[in-house]
Amino acid sequence: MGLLTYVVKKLLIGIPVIFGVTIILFYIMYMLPGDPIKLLLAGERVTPAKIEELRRAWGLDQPVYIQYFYWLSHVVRGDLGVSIVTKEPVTLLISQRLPYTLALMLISTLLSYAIGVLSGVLTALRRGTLVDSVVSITGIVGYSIPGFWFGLMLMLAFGRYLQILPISGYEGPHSLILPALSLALPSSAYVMRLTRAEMIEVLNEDYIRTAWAKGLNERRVLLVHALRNAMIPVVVMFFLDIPWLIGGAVVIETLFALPGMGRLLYVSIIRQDYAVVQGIVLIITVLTVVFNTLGDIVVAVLDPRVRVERGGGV
Amino acid sequence: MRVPEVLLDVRDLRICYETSRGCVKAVDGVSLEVYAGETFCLVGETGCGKSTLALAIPRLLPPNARILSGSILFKGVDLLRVSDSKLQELRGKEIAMIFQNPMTSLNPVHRVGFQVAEVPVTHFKMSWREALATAVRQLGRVGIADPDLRSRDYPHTFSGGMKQRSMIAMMTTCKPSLLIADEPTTALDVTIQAQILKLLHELKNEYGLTLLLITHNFGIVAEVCDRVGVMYAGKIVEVADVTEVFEAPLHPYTKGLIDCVVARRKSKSRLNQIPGTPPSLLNPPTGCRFHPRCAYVTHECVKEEPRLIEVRKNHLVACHNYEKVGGVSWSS
Repeated sequence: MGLLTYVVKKLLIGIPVIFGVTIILFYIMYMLPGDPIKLLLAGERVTPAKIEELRRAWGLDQPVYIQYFYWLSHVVRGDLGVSIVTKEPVTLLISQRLPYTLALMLISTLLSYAIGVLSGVLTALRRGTLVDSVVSITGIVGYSIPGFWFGLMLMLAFGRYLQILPISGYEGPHSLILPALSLALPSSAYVMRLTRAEMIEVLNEDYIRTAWAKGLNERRVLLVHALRNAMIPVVVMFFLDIPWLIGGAVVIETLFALPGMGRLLYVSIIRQDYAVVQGIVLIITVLTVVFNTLGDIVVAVLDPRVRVERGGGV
Repeated sequence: MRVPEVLLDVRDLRICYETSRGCVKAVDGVSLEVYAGETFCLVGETGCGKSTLALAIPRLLPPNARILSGSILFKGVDLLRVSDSKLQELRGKEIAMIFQNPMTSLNPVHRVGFQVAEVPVTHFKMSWREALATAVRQLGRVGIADPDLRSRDYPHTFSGGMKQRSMIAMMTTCKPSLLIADEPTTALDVTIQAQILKLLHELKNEYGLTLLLITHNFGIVAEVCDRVGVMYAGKIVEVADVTEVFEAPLHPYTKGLIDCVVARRKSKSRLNQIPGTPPSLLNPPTGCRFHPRCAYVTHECVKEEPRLIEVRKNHLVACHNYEKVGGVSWSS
């Protein structure tokens, strides 16, 4: 089938992308100033021989490509190495943190797309009215506000004055509410603007006029004929957006002191904890490739023209 | 003689488009009667308001259009005043419409069979299985080869002619009383044009429907029409039977349009044309709108607008000097 060939092709393209990213990243980490061994010793006075011994023990005396292949040979066996700082396996560190980040991503993405799509469709249908103006302006303001500032304001409002939600650390699922909101707001404003623009464009299409001419009711024209077409670019955005949220999570998790992967990444970069940074970036890369591929597949399902244009036959 | 039944009665219709430069009066006081069972052609240059008039009938005008006055009576019901839900019942079932550009008129994300089947599902409360079978039959009827297979394809795999055939299938499944075809062949190859016209003509006879055909092509008029209405700058200038229009046009504009076609037959003579360009509908000329381009212009034409009057039996014209026009051709 055309769709299956298309999916396989997309997946095969993803593999070299993952390799490429890990190679580039490995080299960048290697080029960074500073010596992880010195950080490891943390000012402890030892002999140069001891430093050499540690360097050998961590494999840091080898050329960079040897280090890379060594790392890679372990990765394919599911071993992401050991943190140079805490001496714990990277897989353990990440698996402890990943659930928080995934939960945060999931909640904030669903929130931002629910708000964005609904308000986008509403403003498109009520185009030029007061509702449209108010929601659109709110959207522009929302998009202009940085997530961390909005996060601080939420902390102030709900944590300091109302004192109904925790502002720091993880005390249970309700600890994710404020961080999720801080991530979702700017994103939802963007989703709203995209949805509104797409919906307005689609409503002007000839096939919408055809749908009316057929005698379909408003609900059917909007849902079956207009929304189905308008949602295609929004769905693409959705899948491209998810990996980016991890980037946003670095700031928000740090701000709210959540024990997530974003915060782990931030701390590990500061400590030059190579193995942890490598592991997290590998996971982000894999997620990016997976979600991009998923996005391509969903679009191919939604829009039959894509399968032909981008190869794969009918 | 049997008095023909009036199916569609447009009375004093005025429509304008709101633009940044003002109100463009696309249709300015049009009255028109279409009889049941006939093929009525509305002819005119691009921008004369014929498509606006056509779109106004099932109320499919773009949002910046304003209906200023008038009524459109369909089987005695005023379509401009009927409720949205009642109108939805009429659209596709009683009044169907085919558009100019088949390339963009079908929804790209739905299968062709589904798009046709939606109509009987909506109007006859048919089950999807039944409706899809009906759609396949109808697609076969309009000349789609392998309708069973092709009904499962998406529109982008269809050629322009096949898309227009699919539109026709979609709009005729419910056997409507009135089929409005707004320049249905303009976007198609000449060879396909003839096939589509033939198909429309066949379906009209088979289903006994009334065809309102909008065109700028007098060749099409000669081939399929019973009666012709000529539009110029938002107004109807002449209405008559097709033979009468070709043999004895009474309006200088109609005459000019026919001469453009007829002159081609005399191989050596140059193609005739009407001098000048159609007027802006933002600021139409005073008096008769055709007077700046007319060879028969008099002082009266500049000052006073001619009314559409029945000067012969079933022959209406809006011209002060129609008696001078009758019979004499420009090219001779």
